Amino acid sequence: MKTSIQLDLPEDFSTLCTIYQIKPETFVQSFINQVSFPCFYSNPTSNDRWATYFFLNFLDAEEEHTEVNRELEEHYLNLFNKNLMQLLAQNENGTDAEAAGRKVMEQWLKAILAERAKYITDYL
Amino acid sequence: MKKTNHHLITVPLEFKVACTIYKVTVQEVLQVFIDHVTLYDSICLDYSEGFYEATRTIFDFIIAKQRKPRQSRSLSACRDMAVNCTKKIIALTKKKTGEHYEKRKESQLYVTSIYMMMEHHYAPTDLIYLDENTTLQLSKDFCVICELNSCYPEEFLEDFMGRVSLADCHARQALKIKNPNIAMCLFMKIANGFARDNSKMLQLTELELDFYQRMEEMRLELYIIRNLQQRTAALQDFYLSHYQQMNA
Repeated sequence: MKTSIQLDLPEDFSTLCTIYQIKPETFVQSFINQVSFPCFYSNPTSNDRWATYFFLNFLDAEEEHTEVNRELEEHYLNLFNKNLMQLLAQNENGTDAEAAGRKVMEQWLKAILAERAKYITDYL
Repeated sequence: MKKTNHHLITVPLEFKVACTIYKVTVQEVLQVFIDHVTLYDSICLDYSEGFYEATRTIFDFIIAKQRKPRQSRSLSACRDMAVNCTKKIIALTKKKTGEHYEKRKESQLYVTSIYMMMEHHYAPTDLIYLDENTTLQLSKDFCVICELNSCYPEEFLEDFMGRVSLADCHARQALKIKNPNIAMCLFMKIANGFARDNSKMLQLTELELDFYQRMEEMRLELYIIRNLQQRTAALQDFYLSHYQQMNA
């Protein structure tokens, strides 16, 4: 999925990008590539864990401002955790766990979209 | 008949774990707790930091025990004097002028009178042993409250310690669930420096530095556990393993 976004580049970030000759879009792309619950939770000690930590911290700090169905969140995160734990206990390399985790995330997304669609149609 | 031994204090493991993580000693925490339980604050309705939490913890315990109201054996010989002194303290709490710390200090006169006149059944000495080398100094207020409610000091201290759970507190914080645990609230104040000598520089070992960093990561990682009991259990294991490493 492609999207174009406009960002304000803060001075310090901009300075670093200029010094190291990094295109801001390259950096942002590499950062968001690493934001992933399935990758993170199937291998929490891997070197690309930091972006997800940032995301989790963002969720924690901004929880009051994020709008999410808490019931669905609890249900799917519980399922996600249970499935991953089970698979990680059987297979230590985490590949199966990552795939299983992604599957739960897809189901969660589906449920969220269905719930939002229902909200819109109910108020038509 | 089974007799409870009230001369030995049992320190719950979770309390020891909490003290280790916040680098405070069991003695320090308990002494601050004792020093903030007062007859004045058990009557006064206003909030005074530390005194409110400590005194409320004691009275929560007394209420939870659901002891039938009965006359204190220790005060039976000096009832009129004790009633008079309590009335004087009530008057002090109602006095509109003066700061609480001044009025609390003034109340000491009446607390001392009760202390001198009452019989000491439950708190016979003002020094109790935590272990062979560590003692706690009981204040006159604390002793009077023990005798007044027919409770042993050890019962109060064990109840306070038993209510402290760092795992539960942190899990609630993360899940934004209100924490009604007033004893825990006092512990956190003490852990963060309340009523303690904070002039000493904190020395951290490499093991501890690693742990505190890992603690911050754990706080974030556990986001996916949205259930309070499950999150508390995960934190309990994590904190306990640090305690065991520190005492290995």
